Amino acid sequence: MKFEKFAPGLMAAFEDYQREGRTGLSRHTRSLGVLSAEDSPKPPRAVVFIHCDSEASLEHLADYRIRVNQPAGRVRTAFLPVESLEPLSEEPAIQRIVPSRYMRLLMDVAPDKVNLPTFRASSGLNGDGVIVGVVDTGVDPNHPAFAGRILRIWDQVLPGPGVVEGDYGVELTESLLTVSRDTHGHGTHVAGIAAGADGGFGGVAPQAELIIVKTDLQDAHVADAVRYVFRVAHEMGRPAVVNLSLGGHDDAHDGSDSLSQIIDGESGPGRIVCCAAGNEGDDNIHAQVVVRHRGRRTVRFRVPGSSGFDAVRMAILNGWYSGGDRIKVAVQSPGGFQTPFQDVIVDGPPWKNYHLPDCHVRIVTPGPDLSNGDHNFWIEMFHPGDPLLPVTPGVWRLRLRGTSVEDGRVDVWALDTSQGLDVVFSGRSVADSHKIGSPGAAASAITVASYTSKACWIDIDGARQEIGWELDEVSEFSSEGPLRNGAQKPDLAAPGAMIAAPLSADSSVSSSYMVASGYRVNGGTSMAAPFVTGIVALLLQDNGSLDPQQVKAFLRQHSLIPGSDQPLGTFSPKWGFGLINLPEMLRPPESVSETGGIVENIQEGWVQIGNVRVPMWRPI
Amino acid sequence: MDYQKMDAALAAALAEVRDPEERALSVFIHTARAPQDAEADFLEDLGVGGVTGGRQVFTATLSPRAVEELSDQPWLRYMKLSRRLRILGSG
Repeated sequence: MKFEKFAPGLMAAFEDYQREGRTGLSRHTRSLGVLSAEDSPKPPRAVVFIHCDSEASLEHLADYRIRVNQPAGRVRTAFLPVESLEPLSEEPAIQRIVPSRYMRLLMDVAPDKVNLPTFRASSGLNGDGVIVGVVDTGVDPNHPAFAGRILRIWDQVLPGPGVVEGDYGVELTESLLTVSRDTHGHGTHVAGIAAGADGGFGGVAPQAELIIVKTDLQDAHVADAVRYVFRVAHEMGRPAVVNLSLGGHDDAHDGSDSLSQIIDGESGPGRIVCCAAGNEGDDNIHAQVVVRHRGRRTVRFRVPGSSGFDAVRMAILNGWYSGGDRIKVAVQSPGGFQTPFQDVIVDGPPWKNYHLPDCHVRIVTPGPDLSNGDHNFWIEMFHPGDPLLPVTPGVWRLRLRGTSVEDGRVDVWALDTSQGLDVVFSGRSVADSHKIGSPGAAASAITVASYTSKACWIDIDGARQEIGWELDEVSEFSSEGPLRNGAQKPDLAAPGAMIAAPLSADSSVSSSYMVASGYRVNGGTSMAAPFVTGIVALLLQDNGSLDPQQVKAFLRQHSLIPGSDQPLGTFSPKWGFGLINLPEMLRPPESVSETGGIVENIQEGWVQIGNVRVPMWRPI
Repeated sequence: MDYQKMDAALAAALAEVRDPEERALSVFIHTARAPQDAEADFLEDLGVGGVTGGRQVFTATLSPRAVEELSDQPWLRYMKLSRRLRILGSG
């Protein structure tokens, strides 16, 4: 008996059966796929998933009355007597045996939260004829949720001749789609939310077709990807919506950055882009101060102690202030060593290097940025002689001195080279606002915040899992707007935690995040954005000429902040215009119609014949 | 080299230059207008693709030497360094 192959829930059931017989199984029949009627002459049987070698022949297991339903595949189902679990476990080609489970409503609540099933049923929309572009970590081309609907993959990471938009990577179609792999899993999950087709965990637009770009996350290559999807869609004569569940804070946070400009330039009738708002709602990565004329301000930030592959090897401050002001900047290290104050440099190289005893600092202070006319200072802290050495940990200070000030507001974002955003501000300058950067800052993009629609789930082993986010609220991690220029972002909120969707077979994930074979949960504004992407695909199926403003108007009209007494159309920097709340019908029926002298007013609910008006729906 | 036509991040990247001929700077290129013939030829000689269709924003991977040459062109508005984004899922 190979106990290690059994999922814990199945192991527990088998042990109870061995100890107590059929009676011991009875406590498991409500949850597991175990069939064991007390008065039945048949032996108790189990329905299981088996994870095995994809080409393994398991026909010989019939000798043990084990019926395997599929002749091939990595994951198969089987029906067998409980007593045959032992020989099943002895089969070398089988790695894992997991019980089938009764599905619960707990699994998939997001669509109901936004009235999606009713909207789809009444409208008949499913994304047919629309292209959903996903620029992300790739896709699992073998996942059944996408069968037959992936049109192309531009894998920017593989070596190759590239495409029109960029001479790098390789474009794959048809039988070559499987050359590309999503080893991270994020892109597969995102694509599944927008356009997966599955009975239990279906996407919003299950008949839309997909164009996938597996990107290296360079924003210039993301820009190329947006252009690529729209070009291919145009060649096919189809409307398209592109999903970007990506973001950063290296920009001015006002939509003037280059990627945002390209999104604005490429968007138009039948070409829509949806972006995630960002996940820094709980992270103190933004500071805001007002520096008076000839005044001084100090902003504290902390570099954590770190080591290993994810150490902070460079800390960066990305600061912005009005082009009409002149503010000098300096940095003080944890050891108390400070650089001189540096003014704007308009002649020659706009940077200076300062070798402090405990760290190297480079301060870049060019003239007004030509994209928006504002000043940007860029400060890097690192060890040039040893690039693997972490940045000196401790409290650092950014010093600001106003030499010519009218506005005085300074916004600074902290960046670093670790996987997480570990360099954070502290003190009174910390500001939760203005944490939506590129590409969510693009004016024409639909920028989506996350709503927590589910905070617990049953994993594939039958264990209850929980995450500590407040249910039925905007997710705490969801980044807050507005933009630095006051523009209203995010646009709306959609379910983003915890969402069940396809799992890439080439990725690895803890079983506690798996909800079924081939499906996992994940949370983030990454999950909220494709929810809206799918909705946009439905709208484009109905009207392929919708432009971004029209789509935004529809979404705004059908978004509401739950529990709020604010009127429809109220903006919140956390919710946008609220949680999407799809109408029961795509468009209301004509209010008033007349046929043969009979006037019907559906909106008001009456019928008039001649001079007699009666209620439309009279109790019988 | 016209540094005023570069953003701060690109200037910082140039400060770290070792090999001026190495094509390692991924940039956005903003032109004052859709490139005319000679301007389009210049960009294409630098390896910039898609220089047609009336666009004014392009992407390319350039060497520091190419960045310097491009910065001195009067029809160039500005350049910005491409930065790496993050995916926004929790797991």
